[in-house]
Amino acid sequence: MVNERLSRNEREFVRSCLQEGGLRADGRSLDGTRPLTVRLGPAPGLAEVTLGSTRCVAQVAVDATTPFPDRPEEGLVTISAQFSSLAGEQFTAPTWYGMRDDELTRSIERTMRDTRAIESESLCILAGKLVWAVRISVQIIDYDGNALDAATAAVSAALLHARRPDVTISGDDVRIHSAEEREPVPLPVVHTPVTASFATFEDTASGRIYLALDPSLQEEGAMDGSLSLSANIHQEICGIYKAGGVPLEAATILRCAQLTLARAEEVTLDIQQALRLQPTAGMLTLGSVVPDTVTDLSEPNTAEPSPTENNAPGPKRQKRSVAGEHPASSGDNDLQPPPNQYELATNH
Amino acid sequence: MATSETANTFFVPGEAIDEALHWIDEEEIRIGDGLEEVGGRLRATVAGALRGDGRSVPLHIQAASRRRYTAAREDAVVGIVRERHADGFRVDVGGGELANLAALAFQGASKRNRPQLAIGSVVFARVVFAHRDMEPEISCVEEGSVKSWVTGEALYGELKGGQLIRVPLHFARALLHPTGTTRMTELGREVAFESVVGVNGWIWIRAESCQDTVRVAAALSAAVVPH
Repeated sequence: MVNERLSRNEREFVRSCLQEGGLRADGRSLDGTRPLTVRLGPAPGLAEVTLGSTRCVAQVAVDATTPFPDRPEEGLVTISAQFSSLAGEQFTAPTWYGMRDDELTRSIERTMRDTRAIESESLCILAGKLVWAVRISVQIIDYDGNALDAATAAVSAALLHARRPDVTISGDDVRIHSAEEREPVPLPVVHTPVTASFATFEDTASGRIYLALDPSLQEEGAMDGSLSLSANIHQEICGIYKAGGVPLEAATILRCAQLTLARAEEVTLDIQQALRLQPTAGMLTLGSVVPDTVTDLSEPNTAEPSPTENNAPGPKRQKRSVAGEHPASSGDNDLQPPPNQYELATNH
Repeated sequence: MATSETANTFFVPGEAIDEALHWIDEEEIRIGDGLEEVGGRLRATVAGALRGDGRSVPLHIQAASRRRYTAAREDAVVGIVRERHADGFRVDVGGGELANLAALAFQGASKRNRPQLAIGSVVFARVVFAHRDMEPEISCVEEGSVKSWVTGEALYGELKGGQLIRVPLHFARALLHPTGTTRMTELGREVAFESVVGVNGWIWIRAESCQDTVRVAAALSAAVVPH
């Protein structure tokens, strides 16, 4: 796990610290994690998670499409993760770039899709004809180690924050409602997986094995292997992935599982808290909003910034709550109406 | 500090700073970081606020927190060896280019007696040549010194062991300033350590124990305040 940016001194320092008594280079305990923050919106399904200095952005988009012929009643969930060049100089070199992107994508797929965090059957609109396709894109925009944990938290938050258009089905007739007609509805998220990743070190001299939770970039550059577990708040372990040849005893893995369960609870509560404070803005709660006050993220930045950018509600907005779903905004909520990102299927 | 209240003190790269100079009477104005004479006019080369009075404090642009280093002659930098070649090394100093370090550019080195730096080793060196269109050149030779690189007493050369931290450029410069040096000495009274602060924002720290090194590194990292 050599990181080209690090010096030998830094790599050796990590190991010397561990040998000196389970010390970590940044002063944390072996099971200590860095502060995690979750920021949501303004677009529905947009989440940014910071884990120490690692920063990850996840965006969820939902479109209607035809299902796979062999799975006529299942929706599609696709995940694509990428280390942006913003994340660090090492991500501009072609060789490293590709490999790490694929690895991360695969790891997130394992955690989110293989554990069926989204119920694919609930994404079906009309069996064999129309289903929802959920596209999750993940970008690491700043990197200081442990992309996976930041990414899964971001994806989980984004999925809970995302909305899809409401539909009315009568027989074979499908009507997909625009966001102005009917409030978009949440996705069928069954559970919220959270990962906990450990860097593993084997001290060949003493035979001791060390595990460090939430590794930093420096630790990743020095580690011999890694272990990641995913769990949810319902005390279920949903996945385990071990890379590198460091031998681990069953008792060690069980201990890691316990730490993962605790971490899952912590992070899920953080995400839920963020969702409470930064709920998905709905079109109806903001009354009739004229398009020129909408911040459309898909278009290039034109003319003057929208008046809502300074966290003050725009003058044209009226607040109506719909079925008590969306609380009245307070001055510091960044409630901007979402851009109309849904590709509406025309009458099929 | 710019004394005129109405003059614009914030500039973007390429912007001429003439208007802000009206309040300066001098014939000779001392220029520092971030300013360059282009087409007969003094222009900013980085974004930031204009500071200084042109006399005791050279006029310079106080740029926002930056980490990307631009090599300049006589800068003392901490680098990481990335490549080894027959005639020397290529060293990463945190800039856009690797810097060249000649194989014999070490105190008292000869063809038979020179350091064989491994890839990934840390060096402390001096910038001897820098131009925006060319690769910078660094050297571990201190002029006028007779110490040999072999004994490890030479000022420049390999830095063994320890920890490396990366800080914004302005913070590294502040540490090299007398006030910063005082702070480092005070820190040294709490925990004994040795350190080398590179103008490129990379700081090498080594203390008796890993615990102490961690404490010093944490103290310095925590002291970083955005510009």
